[in-house]
Amino acid sequence: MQYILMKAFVKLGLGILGIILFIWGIVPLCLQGQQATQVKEFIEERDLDAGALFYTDSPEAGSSIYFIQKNEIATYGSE
Amino acid sequence: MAGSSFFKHEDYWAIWLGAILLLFGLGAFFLNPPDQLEERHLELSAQLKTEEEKAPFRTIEWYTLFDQQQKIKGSSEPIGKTLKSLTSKPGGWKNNPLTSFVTTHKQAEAQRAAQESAYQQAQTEEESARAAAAQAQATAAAGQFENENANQAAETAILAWRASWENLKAKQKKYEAKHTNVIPWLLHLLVLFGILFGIASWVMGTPFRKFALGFVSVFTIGVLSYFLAGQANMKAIGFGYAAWAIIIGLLISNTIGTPSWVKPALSTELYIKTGLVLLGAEILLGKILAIGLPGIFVAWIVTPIVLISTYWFGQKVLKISSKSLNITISADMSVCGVSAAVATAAASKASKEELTVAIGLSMIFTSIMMIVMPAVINGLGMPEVLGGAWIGGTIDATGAVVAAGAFLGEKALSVAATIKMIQNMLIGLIAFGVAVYFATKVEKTGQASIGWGEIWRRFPKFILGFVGASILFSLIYSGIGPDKAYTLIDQGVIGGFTKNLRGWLFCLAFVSIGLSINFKELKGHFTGGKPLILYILGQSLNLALTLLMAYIMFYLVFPGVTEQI
Repeated sequence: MQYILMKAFVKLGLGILGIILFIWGIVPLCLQGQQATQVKEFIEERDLDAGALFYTDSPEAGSSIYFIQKNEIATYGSE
Repeated sequence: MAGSSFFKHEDYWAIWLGAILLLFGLGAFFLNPPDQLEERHLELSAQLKTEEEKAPFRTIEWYTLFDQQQKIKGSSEPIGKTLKSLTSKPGGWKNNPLTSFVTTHKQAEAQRAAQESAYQQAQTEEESARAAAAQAQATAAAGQFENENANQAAETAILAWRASWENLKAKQKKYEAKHTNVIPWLLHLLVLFGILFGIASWVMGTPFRKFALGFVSVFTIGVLSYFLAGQANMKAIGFGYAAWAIIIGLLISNTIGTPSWVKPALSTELYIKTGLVLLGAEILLGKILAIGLPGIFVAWIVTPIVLISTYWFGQKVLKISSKSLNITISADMSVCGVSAAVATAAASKASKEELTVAIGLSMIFTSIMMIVMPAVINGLGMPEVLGGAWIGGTIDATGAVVAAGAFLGEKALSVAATIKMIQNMLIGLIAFGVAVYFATKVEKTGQASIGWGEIWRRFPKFILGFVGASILFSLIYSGIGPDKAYTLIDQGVIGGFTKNLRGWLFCLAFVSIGLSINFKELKGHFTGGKPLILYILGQSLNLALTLLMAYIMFYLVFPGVTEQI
């Protein structure tokens, strides 16, 4: 029983290590390409939340969406 | 008994809880609007209209007035700030994890000092870009805005100024770093959710204390999910809280095992369905009318074709045994990722494992496409508008669409975000359609025909709350006008309250899913690689058809609209 519990905690520990390696090892490696780095810097500078599900958390993008609406209303609203 | 099912059935509780939160939000923001809301909007709208008539492009003054109007937000009022803080999540961080929860005065000062030179440089660049734009605009004005070349030069200079202005705003946000502490607010939210869902669970048969004890763990893992999703590298690749919630849950359940005292709080369906009722309020039908026709054609013709084709392919060619898994993957790939997957899974009564497979596929490909698509578009020299339309119609997550579109340029961002938003409107229709289809056709089990009573019994009732919230908010939105609606709903009830709550509820649901799933059960769904093949082939069709339709609409059928963008 103790052995099984120890095995479970070892697996958990390995899983946590895997997560740490993913965040600080694998992903930074993948983002080293020029295009990827540019996208990353772009997102960082604007503090965009690229994982947002529906509405973006970025106020800039939110204003762009409203901007489009205003534009369309202004251009086509009276037709 | 019919009466008691209103309080014993999860679907109805999702409607009650969703309704309580939405109505509370409406009350809080509508009864505490910004001072002189109507007068300010009327005045600014009139001034904006005057500016629009002056020149064939958006002048510097137009942008200045527009920015003033944008600042009128319900979430800036005291009640709005409180509700926004209440629903806030751990912040972004790079190397110091503690800054996700607390930014001390000293850290804020250090951040300001570190950002000072970048901020000052951005200020200098913005000032010189503004001066250049003003000069170009004056030249165009001197020619009564009749000289095409001068107008073009002015518009280009103004757009360049806007880009530097956006950059300045981003730097300013970091420069104006303040002392923050989200921990007390997280505790408040834990208590709020604990009480609401605890009461619901108690009425449905789970003792309050048992639920509350388990809920503390579920909420804590949710906080951890948001924390990990806030890390800079994770944000860059769009690896959001949903993925982390499932991963952490799976890690615990498949190593040390989910403790028995946590299980009473694993109310996956209740969290998801309540979140979906809140999501319904975000499907604002009136917005479609304000958006151009080309976008509607791209989003509303391609999406159903891809959805149905992919589902048919999965059933007839790949022969995927589970129809609910098939439709969930088809929806998340063709519509809008995780939201569509959650809604369709609930409507088709897909299992937790099936939802996890669909979300996992969506997230992996979203991360890849977010980086690859802008590169391909630039490499091919594709026009910005076409590239934006392609991104908007194909990348699953709205946030990733905005990031990829913004990377290409302002026009691409506008088009991408619009098309994504129109596509998102389909969630309600698709969830409703799937629910009806599965209730009438898929669950037939040998019966020749089914009566309306049986269809009603099988129909997922929470969809009524979802549709009801959409109708209610759409009516309010169109009734009060776009300016007031922007302030009180976009930047009020939804933007400042229910959107964050909905995120939390989905997060709790994904944690519950992760904690309930066994790896072996999950592995079974990947047998033969059919879900992956379905996703790849469906997404390939999506990419091809979206590009074709975007080209036809934006360049052949509505070229005038493209010029206006």
